Amino acid sequence: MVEESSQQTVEKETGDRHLVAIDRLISNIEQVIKGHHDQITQVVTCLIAGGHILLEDNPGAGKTVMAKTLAHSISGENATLNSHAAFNRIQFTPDLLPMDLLGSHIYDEGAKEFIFKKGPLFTNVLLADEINRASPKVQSALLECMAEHQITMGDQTYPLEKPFFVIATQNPIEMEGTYPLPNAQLDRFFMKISFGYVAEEVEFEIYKKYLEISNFEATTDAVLSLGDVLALQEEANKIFVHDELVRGVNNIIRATRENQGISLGASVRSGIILLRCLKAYAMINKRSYVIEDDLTQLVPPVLHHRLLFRNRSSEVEALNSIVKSEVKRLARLKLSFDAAK
Amino acid sequence: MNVKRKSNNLLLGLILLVLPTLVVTYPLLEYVSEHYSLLFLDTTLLTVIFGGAMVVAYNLHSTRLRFIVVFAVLLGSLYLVYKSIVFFPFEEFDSYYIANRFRINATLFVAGWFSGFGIARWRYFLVFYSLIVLAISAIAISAIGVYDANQLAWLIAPPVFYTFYALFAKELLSNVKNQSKVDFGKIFIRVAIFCSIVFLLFWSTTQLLQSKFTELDQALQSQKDGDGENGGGGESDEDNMMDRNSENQFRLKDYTELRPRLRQSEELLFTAYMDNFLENDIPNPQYITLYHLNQYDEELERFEVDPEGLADDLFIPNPTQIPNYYVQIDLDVLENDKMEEYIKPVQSTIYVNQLDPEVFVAPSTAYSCQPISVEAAFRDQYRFAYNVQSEVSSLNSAYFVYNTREPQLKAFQEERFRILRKVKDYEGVPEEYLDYYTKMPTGGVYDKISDLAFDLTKDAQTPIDKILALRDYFLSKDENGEPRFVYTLTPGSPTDPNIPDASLLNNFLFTTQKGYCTYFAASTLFMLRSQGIPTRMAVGFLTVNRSHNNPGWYWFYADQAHAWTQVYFPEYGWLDFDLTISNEDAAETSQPDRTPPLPPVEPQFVAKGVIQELDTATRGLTLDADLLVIKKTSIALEQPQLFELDGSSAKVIAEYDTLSFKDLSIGDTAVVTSFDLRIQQMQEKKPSESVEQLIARLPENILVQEIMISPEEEEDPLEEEEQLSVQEVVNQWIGYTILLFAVVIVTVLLAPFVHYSIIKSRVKNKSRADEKAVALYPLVQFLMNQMGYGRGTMTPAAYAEQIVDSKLGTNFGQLMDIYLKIKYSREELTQDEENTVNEFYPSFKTRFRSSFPPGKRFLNFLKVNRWFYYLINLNIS
Repeated sequence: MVEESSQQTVEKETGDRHLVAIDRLISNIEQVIKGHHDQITQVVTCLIAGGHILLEDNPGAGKTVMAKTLAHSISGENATLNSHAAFNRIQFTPDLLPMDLLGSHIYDEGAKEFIFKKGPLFTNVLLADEINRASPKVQSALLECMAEHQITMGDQTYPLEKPFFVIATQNPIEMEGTYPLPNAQLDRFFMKISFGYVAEEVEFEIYKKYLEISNFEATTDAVLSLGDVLALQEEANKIFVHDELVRGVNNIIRATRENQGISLGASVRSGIILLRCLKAYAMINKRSYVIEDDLTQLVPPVLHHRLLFRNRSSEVEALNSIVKSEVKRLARLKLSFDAAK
Repeated sequence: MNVKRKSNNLLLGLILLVLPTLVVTYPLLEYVSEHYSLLFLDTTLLTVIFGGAMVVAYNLHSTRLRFIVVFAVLLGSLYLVYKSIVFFPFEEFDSYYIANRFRINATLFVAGWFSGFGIARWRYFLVFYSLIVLAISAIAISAIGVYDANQLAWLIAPPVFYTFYALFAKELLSNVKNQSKVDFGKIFIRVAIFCSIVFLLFWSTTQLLQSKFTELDQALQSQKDGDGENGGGGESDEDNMMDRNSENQFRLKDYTELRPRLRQSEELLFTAYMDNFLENDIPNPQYITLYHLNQYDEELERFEVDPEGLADDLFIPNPTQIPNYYVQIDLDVLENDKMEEYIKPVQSTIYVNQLDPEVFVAPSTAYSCQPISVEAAFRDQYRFAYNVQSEVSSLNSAYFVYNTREPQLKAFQEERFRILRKVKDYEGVPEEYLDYYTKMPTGGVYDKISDLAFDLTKDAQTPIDKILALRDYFLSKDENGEPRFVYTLTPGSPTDPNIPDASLLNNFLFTTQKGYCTYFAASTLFMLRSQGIPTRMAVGFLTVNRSHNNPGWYWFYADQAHAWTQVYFPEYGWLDFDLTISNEDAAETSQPDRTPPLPPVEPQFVAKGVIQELDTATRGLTLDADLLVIKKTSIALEQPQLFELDGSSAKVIAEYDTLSFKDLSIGDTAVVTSFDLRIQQMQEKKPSESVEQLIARLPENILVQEIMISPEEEEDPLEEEEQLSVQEVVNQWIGYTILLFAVVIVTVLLAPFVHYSIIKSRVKNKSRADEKAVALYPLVQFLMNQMGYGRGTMTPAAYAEQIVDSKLGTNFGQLMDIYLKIKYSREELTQDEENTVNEFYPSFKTRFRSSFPPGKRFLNFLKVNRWFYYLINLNIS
């Protein structure tokens, strides 16, 4: 009894420590990326849910800085540089080859054998810039690694770092010479978000304090260890999802398949991903349970890029109306105490 | 602020748009109701219905209320009410009457509703509306037949003005609409300036065109004369004195007026047998009196029924409301007829053909009405018949101007004049009575009439001599040996437009000396009244003895509608003196005499009641009768009594159909008629005999000859006389409907309060913090929604923080976090959270009350649409 409670306390304490760490991680990033609280939360949610994120935005919105700060905020046990988590950035170009990502076998003259030279993929945080500029071959190589968390070269299998978090970006305006990601591959990203421009006052603040901001970028403290991240990922799985909310997820996923404006609905996998994101998001918001507000926050970034819409207006409206009607149902649910307890 | 602006706009719209629209609609409705002879409908009531619907619709549709849905619901419910009225078991005619009346009112209501909606929502609606007003006005003016250009101009002015005004006011309002501050004074000054400018423009135009008008007048005048000569051609051949209902049945109008032309129809209305003969069986016809017109409208030169007149000797039952063979009697009439000598009872029988059966026709002074069944052979011709008992003065006769040369009739006339000469003056007649029947307007033509009457009657000493002097004047010849007065249906109107207040009466007496009955009657009336002789105007039917084939039988055609005067002689009562000279043209083309219907055999026994037992084999039946007629004695039983009847030779009749005995069923209400010889041989009821004794004397198993089934269950005949009039039934219906609406409205308005108290009581009853939190959430949501801060599509948590807390500064967001925790988590509430829940409501209440003062709270609670929204969208199911 006593042991149990003390164990609980310990668990609770470690949980609290992690929550504090998440807060600090978010505030770290917010020091550099101003006025994008929601997006930062979503990025962190993805990290903790163990997924990857696709940012679709114009150059100069702060994607790289964001990825960098995120990497710097995590201290790496096996990191090579400054004891930060490993951070790599690959600029995707049309002539990029899969090898350039994965690495290659090089003949070691000393050892008289081929050794595997690891590519930039072997890192904790990977910024894949302008992913839609690379050829589909490269894209699929990357996306396969993201899903498998390992690389197979010949007969050898090399596991990727843990955690492995990809922040991919793509440029929406330059469509020429790009290879738009096929829908099936977009499915591997947990979320697709865009930053957009910040409010006027925030932008003014940024111009005023740009020096401070870039200084801070250089001196970011590590607030989490890689182990912490893994622990948080573990922890997030324990978040409670009420049956009605599971039904809510189910309803939303099924509604996307039946909606008139949507030609391709969401898959079962996307439902699972949505649940994982919901749990992570609830944890970030210091809750041990998911609520219907989480749905309104997460369903659009998680599901929107997985769907094919029949027309422009349904692209804007359909998903929102699905979420709204589901949230309306949830908000009107009557509580029966005996069932709830 | 926004609310205030809206209400200001609403108010301005009501004053500047709806009110003037109603003002121009009133005369139109009056014209339309007169045109379609909606006699029973009061124009004011019509306007109130139209206006009420318009105001309500305007108010409702000024908000974003859906029109089509509301309108469909309205139409549907009105239709249902209409159908239910049609199926409601009223008497046949009443049901029809009420349904018809309801239909007209409902149509107007719908039209008003539509207009209100149009004014509120459609920018150009008033333009269309004013065009309609203009069109109807034009039709009305042309139908009335105005032959004076000045008058024409002023008649057409209001609709034209309204057209301009509608454009102006609508534009003005749409300018004002978006201003936050409305300066009422300024707006009204603008409207006033606009109106006066338009008025001045119009007035100066008429002044400028005055010379043109005179030319126009002459043109119109010549056109009118042309009309007059053509008789009835050109215009509608509507009857001036009669109205028709939808079944083409006639009713006499309850007024008569002097018109340039009289149009009459020629249908056979009814046939009457009058048991009134002089010596040697010479028929002495009596006029059929329907109304006494004791009120005079000087401007219209119209005689009307005076609703507040003195106690009258007119018996006005509704024959269709009386069961067959039952006698309805009004003895007050005999009290009021002031007859003391030369009284003669007269029995008449009326067979109704095209006349509205609800209209009771009888010679004066009738005091009893007994509907009888029409002999089968005549049923296709006469739909209804009744016996009438009257008390007639034996001095009275329709003959005064006509048929005075026949020796026997002449002797009768002389005899009655001799008797009436005993009346020298009117001493001893109550002042009030005398004043009432001698009042007349003064000045102008009426002074001239007085002077003329004085001249004509200065040699006559007694009232009857004065009447004779007037008769002689009307029958006299002028210098050229031509008759001074001519009877014509088209007397025309004054030819000289320069005479101010041209009076048709003046024109008749002093210029043209041509006219029809109303002219003669009006002249007689005023001439006699000016000489202090109590006289009254009566309308009804002229009784013409057409041939000697059927003495006592008279046929009444629609063109016999007539107006004449009755003169009061103390002790002898009111006697008819009709000074209308005969129509030389019409005399030759008089209507044909017809075969009189056989008078039915007087039944010996009549019983009305419910069939209790039926034996189809022996054709016997048992009737639970409560109304009996035994040998002319009408008996209403207090307790229905069973009668065993023998129907073996009975004819079964339902309304106008002949049925067989098998068609009878137990529970039918039937009137059985018997000519049983055994009863015929029975002695009449002795005065000393009680009803029970009389019934006991009846033979067993009475042989009945006729069984008439009433179409539906009728009212208890005992209450027949006290039965509500149609008007009262209608009023009751209106009352019920209004009551129902009021109850529904109050219920709906109170519903939010009730709902609130239920939600609130749920909070109070909870002791556990979690239950309390769950109950508090709907309470706060309900209150805020009612105050206009609805949740919309927001999630509860976002709503709590962004709407409620930012408005009131409360910690509802925290409560919502707890609520969501209870809802979606498996964890128990912590102590802190429980405290938050327990402390939440008091602080929320104070904040809420300070933000929304009591008056505002109350008003917001009345906004039922918000409550509906709560029920539909937010209520936790």
